[in-house]
Amino acid sequence: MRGAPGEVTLLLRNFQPGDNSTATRLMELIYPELKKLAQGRFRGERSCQVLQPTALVHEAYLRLVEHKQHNWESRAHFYGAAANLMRRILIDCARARAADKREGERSAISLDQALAWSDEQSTDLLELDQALCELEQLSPRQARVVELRYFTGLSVPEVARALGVNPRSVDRDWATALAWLRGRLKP
Amino acid sequence: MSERWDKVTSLFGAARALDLHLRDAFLRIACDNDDNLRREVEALLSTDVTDDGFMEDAPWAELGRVLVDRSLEPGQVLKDRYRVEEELATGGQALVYRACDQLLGRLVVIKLMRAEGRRNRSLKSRFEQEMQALAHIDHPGVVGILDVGELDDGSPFLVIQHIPGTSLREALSRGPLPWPRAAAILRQIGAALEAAHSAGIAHQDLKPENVMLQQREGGAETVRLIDFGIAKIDASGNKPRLTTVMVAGTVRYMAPEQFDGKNSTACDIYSLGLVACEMLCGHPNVRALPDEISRETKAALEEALAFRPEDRPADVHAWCERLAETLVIGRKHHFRRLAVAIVLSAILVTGAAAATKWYLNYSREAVRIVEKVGAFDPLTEGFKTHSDILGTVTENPTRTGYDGWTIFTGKLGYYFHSFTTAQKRRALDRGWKMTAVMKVDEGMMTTGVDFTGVGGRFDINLILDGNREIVRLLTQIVPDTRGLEIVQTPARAYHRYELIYDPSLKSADLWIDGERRLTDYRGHNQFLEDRGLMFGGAVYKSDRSAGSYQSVRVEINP
Repeated sequence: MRGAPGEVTLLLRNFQPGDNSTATRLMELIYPELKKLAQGRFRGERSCQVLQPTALVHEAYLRLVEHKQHNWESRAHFYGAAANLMRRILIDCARARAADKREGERSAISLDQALAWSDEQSTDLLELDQALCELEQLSPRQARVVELRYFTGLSVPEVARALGVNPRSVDRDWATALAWLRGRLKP
Repeated sequence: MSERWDKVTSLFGAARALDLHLRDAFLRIACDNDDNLRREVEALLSTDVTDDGFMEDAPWAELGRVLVDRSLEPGQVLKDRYRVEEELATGGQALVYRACDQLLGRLVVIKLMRAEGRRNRSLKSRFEQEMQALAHIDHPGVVGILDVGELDDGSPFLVIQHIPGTSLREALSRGPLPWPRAAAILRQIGAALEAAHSAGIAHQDLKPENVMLQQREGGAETVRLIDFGIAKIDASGNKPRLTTVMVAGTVRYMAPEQFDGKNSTACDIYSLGLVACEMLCGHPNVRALPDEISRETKAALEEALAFRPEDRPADVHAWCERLAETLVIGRKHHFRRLAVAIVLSAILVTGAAAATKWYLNYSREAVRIVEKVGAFDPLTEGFKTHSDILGTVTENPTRTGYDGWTIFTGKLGYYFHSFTTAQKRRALDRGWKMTAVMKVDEGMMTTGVDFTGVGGRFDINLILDGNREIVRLLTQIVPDTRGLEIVQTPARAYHRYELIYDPSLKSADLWIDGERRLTDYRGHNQFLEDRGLMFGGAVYKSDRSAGSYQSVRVEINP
């Protein structure tokens, strides 16, 4: 990767919340690294059912961010970008699948294909994404907590470290977000 | 965080720590008389269940499928028939292997979609459709798909004829080609594409990597096109998405409409025009062609590179023949024309030379006079800069997707491309249209046309104001800025803005994403600096601005 560690470090140093173009660039740099790490772990394996995103993100962080820059702020931005990236990848998958399904309904498809398409989870993910966007309007921080917890599998203390806040407030944010999402998604 | 939600969160946090029988009393006191607040907290408490498994595990297996490429190992046999020999190349979209077809005892190429492509579950059936379609093309220049299959995890793969030889990309790595060779290659590509187009199939990803050159005895060269229609299979008509954007193939040779997912045989002509430019000068850019390229050659290339697909030549074979012809003739008259050019340039004022850079063709339905598309640097597209552009980045520097040009500016910084007086007169006389696909990320982006000397200026300002965005058509800059305004949300998203000027009304309408939003905009007459088409950032409640453009262009009615 062309000078990625330097660029990631620099982007993190100048990161301003809400700076979309920096966040996008950051994701572009993190993505290939995550892929490489995932690839290294699963090379030659028959399937990759069990993936530990937390470990991947952590390793990517150590590789992409210069050591002297390791502070909670750069960590928070990096984990935030990685979590957002994971969310987008999964949502894209779900969306592609939903689009396939729609297309399949229009044209005649075989039973096998129809079975392969009936994947309830992808619909749930799209609804979750939509709900998360709404939660973001209420509380950007709670949406971040959900991204970090759910999409990268960080524990409460890890989220607290990444966001530089008290674990108790992460706990409360997570509980609030879950209760709200549950009400929103499971009527 | 909104203050109210903050309150809801803290009350919820406090209430859930209490025993059930105490909660009611607590909320009655804590919420005072705010019943709505109390109901909101109670709603959260009612869905505060801990052990229902809700959101316990993210679909990480799915993530694994996207992140991990399933590779093949040498010696592995697919479909009891194809024995993998070695990995050939790691392309952007596919893993490519050479394999031996043990049934027929010949070499084949196996193409395995990268993990991202495999998410698309209908890929295999599309492969099959494509294989059947290609089977109808009977032309040696079109390399078809021999077979399709599926790995045990469902990832589809393609079996393609193995073509020994080198790609045009490799040939170009040693520099531009001699014209006769370029002409011969063009003719063969034309014939192969013609065969496909008449069967209703477009290649859709024509680039030097997909043009294979096979040396024959006696020095002749056979051209064969690979990867037919595979781009279509990948794109599947969906809008580009983030992960797709990061992994798709090169966009350098894509026709503008392909960015919107519109594919047709006209895309191939556009791509071929760029490939031809690259064969002639080493760059897929018509503006990079050296002076010794004849006017006829350039004109033919520009036809193929017309912005609108319907303006491009319909018959690819005839066009290739014509282009090849200009190269051969151009060769013959090379010295004579050069001599004429030297004499002419001594006589002509330099201003005339600048005018030839413009792409003008009055025979077309609408005349596109200036444009900038995708991630290409405006400076190489003939634009100049004004004052403090702090920096620019391509939206996607690897050029692997739907690209834009992002501009960071200080107080005021923009790119501009002036108009000639004739163009200005014509525009105001016949009507014009300015189209910009843009967004603002910080401060204010301004995009406008300036008809100094003949008329006034028309500016669209996009202003980021918190979470909303003000779209303003400027009517006055000093002493204070004024204009016709609308507000749109959400902010920071790309939209297509069109300013369409009606000469009979002497005013313009603003259309956003195909809807008329403001009418009767008559522009203004301040800061007339003869900038023509301008786009960039200006200061607004912040000391810098940032925004991106996917495309900007100006067209004049014929």
